[in-house]
Amino acid sequence: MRVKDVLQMKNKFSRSAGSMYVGSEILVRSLIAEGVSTLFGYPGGAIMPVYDSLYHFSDQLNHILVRHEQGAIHAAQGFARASGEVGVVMATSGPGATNLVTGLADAMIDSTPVICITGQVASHLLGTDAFQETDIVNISLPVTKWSVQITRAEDIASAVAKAFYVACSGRPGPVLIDITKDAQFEKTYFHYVPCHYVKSYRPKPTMNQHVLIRAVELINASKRPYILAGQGVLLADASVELIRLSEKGNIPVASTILGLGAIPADHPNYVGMLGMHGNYSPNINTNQCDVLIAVGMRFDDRVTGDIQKYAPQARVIHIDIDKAEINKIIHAEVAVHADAKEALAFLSDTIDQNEHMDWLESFKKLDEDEKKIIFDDCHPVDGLPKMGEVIRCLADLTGGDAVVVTDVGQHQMVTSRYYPFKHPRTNITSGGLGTMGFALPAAMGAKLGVPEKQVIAIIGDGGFQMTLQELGTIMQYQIPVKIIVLNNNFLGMVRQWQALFFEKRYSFTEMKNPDFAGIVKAFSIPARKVEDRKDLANALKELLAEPGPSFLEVVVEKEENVFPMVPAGAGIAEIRLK
Amino acid sequence: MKNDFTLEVYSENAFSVLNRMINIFNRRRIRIRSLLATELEADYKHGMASFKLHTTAEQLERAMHQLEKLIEVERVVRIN
Repeated sequence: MRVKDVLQMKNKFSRSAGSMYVGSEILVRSLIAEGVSTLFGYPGGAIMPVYDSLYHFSDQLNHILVRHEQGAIHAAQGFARASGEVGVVMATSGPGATNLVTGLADAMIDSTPVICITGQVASHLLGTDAFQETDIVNISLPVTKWSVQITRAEDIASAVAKAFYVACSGRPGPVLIDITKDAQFEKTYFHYVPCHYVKSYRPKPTMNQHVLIRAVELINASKRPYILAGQGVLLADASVELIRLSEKGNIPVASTILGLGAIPADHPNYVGMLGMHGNYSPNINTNQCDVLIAVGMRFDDRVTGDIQKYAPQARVIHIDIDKAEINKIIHAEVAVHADAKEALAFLSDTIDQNEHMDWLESFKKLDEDEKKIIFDDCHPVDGLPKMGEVIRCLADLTGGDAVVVTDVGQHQMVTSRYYPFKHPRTNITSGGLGTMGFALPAAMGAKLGVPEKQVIAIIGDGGFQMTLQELGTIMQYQIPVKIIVLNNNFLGMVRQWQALFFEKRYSFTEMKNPDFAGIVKAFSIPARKVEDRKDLANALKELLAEPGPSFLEVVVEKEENVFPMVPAGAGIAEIRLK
Repeated sequence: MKNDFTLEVYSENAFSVLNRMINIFNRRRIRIRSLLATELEADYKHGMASFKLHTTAEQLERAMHQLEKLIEVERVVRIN
């Protein structure tokens, strides 16, 4: 930064007494007015005025200095998903901004409320290919719910207010505010007015009771009703209503990967996870039910498999707050465009009490077929430890009460299946985008969002190496996350596909890994490596008992495959047990 | 079966909103046969874009829902 800029910044700030402030201070005051207490970021030239203002408000805003902007946005995602609040990110222009794009895409597809504030070159330099200039607003268009570039200080407060409203309301999503450097320096009056209305935006649909009564009629007449619960249930804070509906109609509930925790895993009506690596009975019985009640889920291809073979017999009731999701993939006979909490409350109040015992029993019979796999995965007797037994052991030690953050791959599927999520907002993973490297930064964000809870990151050896620089952040702020790396020295899920569908041609999936524990110890974080199953339980106990951050590498079986599995492109009824 | 359809999209006149609209069609490989965009009022606060599109009725309906989701978009009207 040039000396002239520094002096200009100092002068601007020193004149910011009374109700007039420089734009950067207006931004900080606006964040405080929105109740922000924690934010994640990385400074640079175009955002320096904002960082200077942050310096003066460090008693009110806890800024976490990450080691890479991707770490900042994943941390903000973890913070938002665990706490239910908005995650806030700051980055500079150019590479600082483009490093956010993966996280924006992840937050967009997984409906996570995140606000990214990026610095931008001064407005007279826009479009000149100035140093660290990039057109982040246009780059981020497809992966943001809303984005805006601000060139005048007077527009900052209203943009922040609108950003919070848009990010949190309706189907949540990421928002980006790009602020030119001259707008950060410019001085103007500040008066913060929260936003509760945007003329062209209708985030909360009016519930149509006539449509819901049609849904009630279908459910009451159904012999084999079946609820598919997605993340929309959690976002709408509708777990209580979901359980009430399930219990009143005695209706089985299956969950998408992002819906885990909406109903406790030990609830008698919970039948398991849907999808490619989900449980056996929930997939098979999707094609046996007569009424499918899909709530806050979007029929992702990982859930449906071949849509021509997906529940062709079922009459579908689809409840979603996002109208664009209804009839997008699967035709809904009853399309309920509504907030999940309101719709589920109405249905649970209105449907008849019912039993459906034979139908529920059919899930248990199918579960018998899967039990052998579960037993082999969770109770092996020889060889290296298996991923399933690590998760089972962790489940025993935590009782299913921890916040578990997973990365992407085999360990993610094993955790999703075997960790008994009991509470909403305890399963944090990259579901839609499948972003390797998500877990470590997301876990530190989650821990800052819910400091009273045990937060455990479970990561593969590939994903850990994508964002392990955030160990520096964990060390600096002593964020007490527990990190488990399940190391099979392979990009395991790709290797599994190569084994099953490419005749074991392991093309560039084997990894020669470093001494993970040694790396972690270099960050002054206690670390241990386990290769023998007799040491596993004690190592996990030690990991969890550490007051600060701690790390455990478990060397697991090298060529373990995750089953059940619906092969890509197959129908869900073609799910393979081996 | 693909046909020609005309959509009029009324929105706030914000930078990048036209790009957002075009992205919705491009991402779904919906062909834009013609495009006319104009400011509507003297205060430049509102605008309208008229798209002639070549696509299926199903794709068009999905795209219309996506257009309606854009924060700046006030109204989407199918002309034919």
